[in-house]
Amino acid sequence: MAQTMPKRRLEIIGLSVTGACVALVTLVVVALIVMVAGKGLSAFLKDGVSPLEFFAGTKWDLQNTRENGMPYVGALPLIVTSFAVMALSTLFALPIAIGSAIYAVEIKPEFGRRVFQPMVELLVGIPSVVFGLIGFHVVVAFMKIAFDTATGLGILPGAIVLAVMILPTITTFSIDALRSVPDSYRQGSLALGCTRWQTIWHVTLHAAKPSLITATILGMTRAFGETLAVRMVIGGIELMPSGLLDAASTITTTLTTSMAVYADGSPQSDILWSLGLLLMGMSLVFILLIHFVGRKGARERG
Amino acid sequence: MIATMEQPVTAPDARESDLEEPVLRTKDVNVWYGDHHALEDTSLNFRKGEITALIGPSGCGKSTYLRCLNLMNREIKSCQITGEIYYRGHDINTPEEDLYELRKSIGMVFQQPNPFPKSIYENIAFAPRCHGQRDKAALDELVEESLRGAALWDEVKDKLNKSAQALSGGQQQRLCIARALALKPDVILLDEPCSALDPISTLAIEELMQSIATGRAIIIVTHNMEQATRVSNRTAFFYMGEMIETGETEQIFNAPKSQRLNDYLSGRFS
Repeated sequence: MAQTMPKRRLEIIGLSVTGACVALVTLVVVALIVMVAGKGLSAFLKDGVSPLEFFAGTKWDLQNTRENGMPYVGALPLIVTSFAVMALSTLFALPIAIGSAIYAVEIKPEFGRRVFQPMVELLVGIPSVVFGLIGFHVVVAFMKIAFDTATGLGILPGAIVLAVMILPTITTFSIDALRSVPDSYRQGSLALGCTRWQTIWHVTLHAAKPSLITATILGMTRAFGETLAVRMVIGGIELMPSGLLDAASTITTTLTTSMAVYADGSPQSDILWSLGLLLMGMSLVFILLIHFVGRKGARERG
Repeated sequence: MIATMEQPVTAPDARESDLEEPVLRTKDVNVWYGDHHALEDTSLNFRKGEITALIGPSGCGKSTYLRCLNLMNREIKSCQITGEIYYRGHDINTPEEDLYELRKSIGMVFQQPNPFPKSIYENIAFAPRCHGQRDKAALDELVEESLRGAALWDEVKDKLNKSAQALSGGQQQRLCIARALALKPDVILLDEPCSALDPISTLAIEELMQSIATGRAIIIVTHNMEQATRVSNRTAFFYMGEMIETGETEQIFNAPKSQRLNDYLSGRFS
């Protein structure tokens, strides 16, 4: 019983249990990074793939090998598609997210708190496969009719589905960002005879800028890493896309499609690990960006 | 004191200053927050060149009254103001009143210094820009003039592009005064402007109040009795949502007429 146990022993137990948890998490993180890095670099170190071909080559074909048995590993089409889908979906989602956050915080705060925010948070919990399903039956079908393409699959439907998926993320964080702007700023601005809109635009949004940028980056991170829903609507063709209606394939969707096909240790398998390493590197970049923005915001506030 | 060449009618003599038409005057102002009757039938006059202190215990309605004068109470949803508030002779307590023009001429400084998270320069230039001033040279001049007016120029002239929030509390409050001055108001409302400041910064703000009172009506809510006696010409005492007594500051503190004020001054309640 806890009551009868000597206090000193209780201390030691508490310390060792929580310490063990930290050690375990640290171990997992380090092991993960070491493994992905080791496997991902072996394509370049062991199989002799040139990094230049990987990052700049435009032909990706793991099935048909060259005379020397090496597959075509130009990942640029995948990288371009990943970035295109991410940028487009952010472009679609950001104005809507910020606009609705402004309405929900500055204009109708009661409605925002009671109705809008719970509704948006509901969206966060919907599994991505559901978004993919709706995307396939609604967005893709619409694309097919509207633009008269063969399948309707492609980058644009992918970006639209992703935009809906990251919308709640950006909106929720934007609402929190605006809500944390001290009311005294708004009061100060209104007392100077500035209009509500001038106050929102030049004072509230300005003050919330670092947090809004963080919200956007979090949305972008999600868009960059999302796989399943994108796979369902993008077409999965590993060619350099020439337009928004072209079927294409992102880094993540290529990984899922090809993962189980090739034997462990084969150049094909190694190069897929390299894609994994690339994804991990990108998420690191996003996290560093968030820290950088946060630090810069803190410095500006003095 | 505060009498100057341009403003000869600022002598703290009641009969003399009564000659001038008050720039701001309220008649039977009542304020409700929902069902709560926060302020009852308050009538006061404010003249240019005068500093009026509003005193009284917490929750007595003095801040509520102050916030009627630039209709800041309108920003609170459940708040309702009745009665007449005459600014330059016309009643501003009407739905048609242009709040933006009004607040341009009636500046306000808050209890907690609230500079925007922008540079010092941008803090001052923000409001004139909102009101349509786009000319860079004119803004530069206005920023310097306002900062000089708030006795802050010498301290910040080399770091106008630095964040205003890196300034000390007292400097921030003077910046907030400069921000209000940039719109060339003829009334300035101060809501306990020194309660978050140290004594030296407080002294600086009090001296500043004397200098900006030239040609302006200054109305200050304060908890600090000494401050009221130090800075104000006139004082109004509020208690439980009512304005109990008003008069020359000297008379209010030395020869209060009402029992309540007498009790308050002798510390029998606070």
